[in-house]
Amino acid sequence: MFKSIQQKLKDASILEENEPILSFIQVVDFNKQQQQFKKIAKEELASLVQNKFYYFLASIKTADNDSTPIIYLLKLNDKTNDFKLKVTYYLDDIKTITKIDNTIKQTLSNGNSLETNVYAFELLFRCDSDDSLNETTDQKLKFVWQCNKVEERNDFLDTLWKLSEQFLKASSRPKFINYKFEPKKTLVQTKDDEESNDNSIIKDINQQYEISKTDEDSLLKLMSECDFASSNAEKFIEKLQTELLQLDTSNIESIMNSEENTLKLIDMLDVAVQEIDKIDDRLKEYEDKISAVGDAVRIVGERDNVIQLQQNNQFALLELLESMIINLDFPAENLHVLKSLDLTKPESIRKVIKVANNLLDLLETELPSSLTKMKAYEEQKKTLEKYKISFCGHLCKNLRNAIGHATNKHLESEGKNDANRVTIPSHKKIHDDLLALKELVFWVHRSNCMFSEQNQTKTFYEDLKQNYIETIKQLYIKEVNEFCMSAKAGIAKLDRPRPNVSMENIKGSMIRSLEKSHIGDSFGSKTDQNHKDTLKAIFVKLLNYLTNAVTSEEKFCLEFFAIPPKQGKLDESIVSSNSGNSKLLSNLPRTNSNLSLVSTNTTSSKLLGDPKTDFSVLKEIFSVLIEDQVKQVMDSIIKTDYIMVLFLYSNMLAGVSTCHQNRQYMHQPMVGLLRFAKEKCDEFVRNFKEFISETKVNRKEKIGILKFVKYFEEFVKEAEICWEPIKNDYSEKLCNIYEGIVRDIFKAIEDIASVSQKTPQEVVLFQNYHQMTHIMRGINGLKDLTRKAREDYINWQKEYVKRLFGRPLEKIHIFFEKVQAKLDRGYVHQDISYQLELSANNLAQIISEYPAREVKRGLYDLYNKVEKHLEDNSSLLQVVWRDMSTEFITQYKNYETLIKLCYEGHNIKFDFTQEDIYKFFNEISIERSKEHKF
Amino acid sequence: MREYKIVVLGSGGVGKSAVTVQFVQGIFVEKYDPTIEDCYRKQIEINGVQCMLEILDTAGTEQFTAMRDLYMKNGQGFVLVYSITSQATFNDLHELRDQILRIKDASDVPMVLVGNKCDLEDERVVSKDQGQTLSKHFACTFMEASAKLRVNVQEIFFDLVRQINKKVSDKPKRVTKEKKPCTLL
Ligand SMILES: Nc1nc2c(ncn2[C@@H]2O[C@H](COP(=O)(O)OP(=O)(O)OP(=O)(O)O)[C@@H](O)[C@H]2O)c(=O)[nH]1
Ligand SMILES: [Mg+2]
Repeated sequence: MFKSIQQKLKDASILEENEPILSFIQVVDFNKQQQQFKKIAKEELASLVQNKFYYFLASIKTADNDSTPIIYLLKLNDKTNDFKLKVTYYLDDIKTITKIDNTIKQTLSNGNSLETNVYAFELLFRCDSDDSLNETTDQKLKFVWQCNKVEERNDFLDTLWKLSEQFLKASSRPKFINYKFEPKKTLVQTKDDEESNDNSIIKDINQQYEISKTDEDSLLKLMSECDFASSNAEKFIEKLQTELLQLDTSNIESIMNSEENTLKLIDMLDVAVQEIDKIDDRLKEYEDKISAVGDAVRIVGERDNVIQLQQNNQFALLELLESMIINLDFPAENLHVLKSLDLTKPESIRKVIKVANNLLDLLETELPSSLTKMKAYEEQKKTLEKYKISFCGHLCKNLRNAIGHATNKHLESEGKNDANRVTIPSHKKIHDDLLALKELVFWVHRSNCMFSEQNQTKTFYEDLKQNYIETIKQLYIKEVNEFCMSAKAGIAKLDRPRPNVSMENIKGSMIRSLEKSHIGDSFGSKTDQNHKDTLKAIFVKLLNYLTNAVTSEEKFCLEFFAIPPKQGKLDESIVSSNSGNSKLLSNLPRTNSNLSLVSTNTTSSKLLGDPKTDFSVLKEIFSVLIEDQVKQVMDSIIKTDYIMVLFLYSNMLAGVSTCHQNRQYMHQPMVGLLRFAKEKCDEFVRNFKEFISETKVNRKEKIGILKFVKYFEEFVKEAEICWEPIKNDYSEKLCNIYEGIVRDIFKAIEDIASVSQKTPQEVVLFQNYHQMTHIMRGINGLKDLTRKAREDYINWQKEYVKRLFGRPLEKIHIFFEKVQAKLDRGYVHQDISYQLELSANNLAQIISEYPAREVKRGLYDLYNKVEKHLEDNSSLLQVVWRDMSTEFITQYKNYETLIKLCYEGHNIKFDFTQEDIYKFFNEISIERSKEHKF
Repeated sequence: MREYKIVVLGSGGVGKSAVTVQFVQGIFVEKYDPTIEDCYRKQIEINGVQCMLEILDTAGTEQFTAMRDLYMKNGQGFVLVYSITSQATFNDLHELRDQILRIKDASDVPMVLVGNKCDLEDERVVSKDQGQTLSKHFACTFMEASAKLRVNVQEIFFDLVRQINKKVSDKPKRVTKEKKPCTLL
């Protein structure tokens, strides 16, 4: 049967030439059948069963010494009765082979039940990708085949088992389920049922295979032997046949003989295989165990790491929580310190500060954001915040009380209103009392606590500041007012009664002021200077006291309301501030008020990089108080003695410079006062200039030194005194004032001179210019104007001398003029006397008209005239007189020279000699001055 | 006669006084005397109208400067002076202008930016462009001037008076416009 099928398959080229059929079985696809059962249960089962037949064929493919067991699934074509290959399976593709013996109960349509014995096997194929099978692949790779005969089925499975045992590696063998190979039975069966060898599988295959190999050898051998006798082919074929026959016989014999041995061998092999299986199983077991142990070790290791990690985390958490608790913990005893708030003793103050700062520290510490989400944190923060606010309110109330208390204490010790206050009381006690609390003030600032008042939120710090400002401002207003009042009273005492007080205008007061010092020249100069000095002293003292008060207030405010950048720095500044005032000034932040000041001269301060100090507190305390009060004092000084504006101006210039250098707040009111003083000074100068240009003189009256020149002298005298201390820095300013006045004076002198009738113009000019030269000499900035005044004086004096002296020897002069004219025209000296007009006789007669006595009288008259022209007791009289004598002698000498030249030998002589002339002049001046003395 | 209150501002020594005195008195002040505060009056004619200028020459040096607020409040027009020979005086003007605007509480204040001492070309450190740029930033007129050579001195003050006039004539219009709807009611 096999053989015919084999042939058929080979014909259909399904099997290769040497591919044996080892087992052949008819099967039905169980799955399909089952489905059909379900679908068409009514129909007869039988009709279905005959429907689809498949055949399984087990074979083995041999190529290149490698044998691969193969299963073919064939389909028999009903009509042609030909096989068609459906699928080829390799045995090692199969994962499991399950033997199925089952009884199926079928309920038929007629109600009868049908019991069918089903013999089947299931083939489960390996999945290529993965061992783990899911449902779908399960379906695809799982086939159940039903067989008709149990024997056939068993036989097929046996064959598969054997093939797998023999040709496949243990790993790739299919697993047999529900199946146990029973060799004996099979053996017996094989022996009994089918003595024919076709079915005794493996050995047959081997033998067939081996024989064919030896066959080949023998054939080759035979071929080689009989190579030459090819002609004897017949014989050879015969021989071959016999030998073949023999071989066949011996083959069969040997097969028969070896069968038993083979079976034994197979048994032994089976046993060995079983042993190996056992060992294999055990090894597998060990392997499993080892891997289990390995897994366990790994797990333990991992768990260890986890534990370590947990422990670390716990430590970290603990630490974090501890630090958080430290950072948020505010013990009840601290709270008590804050609540009781004892500010009476330094140590308790220190304690309060420490605790209060601690509270802020707690509130300011930055915790990781993750922690701040904790409810406990929020609650604690809220609590601390509450402590802070309530303490801040409490503290500020106490601080306000402390400010009020210190001020009251000060007022008590300073006594009641004192109109005769001679100082501004020192606030040192107030400052000392309050400075003990300054760190608390800083705490208030640091806490940044706010409160609402009339819909406005205010910081406690600002409120506290405001409170201090209001309190202390009132105190200063009172004290500064009183002090200035007493200063004004002191000034008023110095004011001398003046005529027509209410009517006096500014110009009047200017004149009075200048007149006073001028007239005092002879008697009252001392008292006037004394008055001036007293006024100055009062003002200097006033300014000093104010400056000191403001400076110490400034120092206090900067310290009390300071916002130190670092605790350390603050301490440093305390130490330095305790070590004396002078040192303090240098240690104070050098600042330039909070005005925005611009200047190229500020390069130095800009280089220093001064932080701008906040003067806002001082500004509010003093606002206009100082300026107002000092201006009032200045006003009353000016009223008393107008020329004191010079002092006030110069003094303010000096004060501003000092304050600017020290970068004090006081600079600000000082600049205001300087402006005021300058304004007043400008006003004075303006009035003075107006006075100068408006000065009128009576033409018919004698004009001597003009009044404004005398006033100017007084002005210069006072100005030079006042400018002495600041002449290095501000001489320019004074010079400008001088210059303006001087120019106006020059102009006024010229104007007045031009209209003068009684006094010759030259006299007005030279006398006043001379006086101006006298006033201005020694003023460096006025050199040009002084030179001009001097030149004018000299010129006008000469003019005067020339004009007034004229030609006292008139006729002689005319005579010699003619002589000179002739000479100029080219006459020879000797010829002059021959001119009729210019004869020696003529000359002698003219000369005789001027006897010495007459000449002296003429000079005497001249002297009187000059004296009348000039100011009384003018030093210039002598100057003019001397100049006149010089003039006379020059003329006399000229005549003498001409006489010598032209009238030699005529014995012509004046009645007086040169010496006589000197004598006359001297005698007259001595005589006249004597007259004056008595 | 209309009065114009003009304030001359700038750092010390830039020539504020020199410019002012040159304008008012026609003389050049060679000497440097730091100003404390000086007020000048001068009558001029612009477009046939007589105007009285009250010019306040202010202190530029720090030591004479305090409470600028007051005169800034009173001033109607401002001359901002720097010296082309000093960068610092140029830079200082920012602060001054800010203060003016703050005190005037307005963004359009009549103003002239003046680079003085333009006769000292050899010592120039502030370029004309810089001045031009700053004036654009200030939104005001700009000129370089010389008090010494009387360059642009009159122009400074005339321009400022025109600016003030313009601003004053602008204002009432705006007021009436605002008022109109009220009168309708
Ligand atoms: N070459 C030159 N020098 C000038 C000019 N303007 C002013 N100066 C000089 O610069 C110096 C200072 O001039 P001032 O006008 O006093 O300066 P200021 O701006 O008023 O100074 P303060 O009053 O201190 O603010 C003086 O010596 C002037 O002569 C100018 O246009 N050219
Ligand atoms: Mg000036």
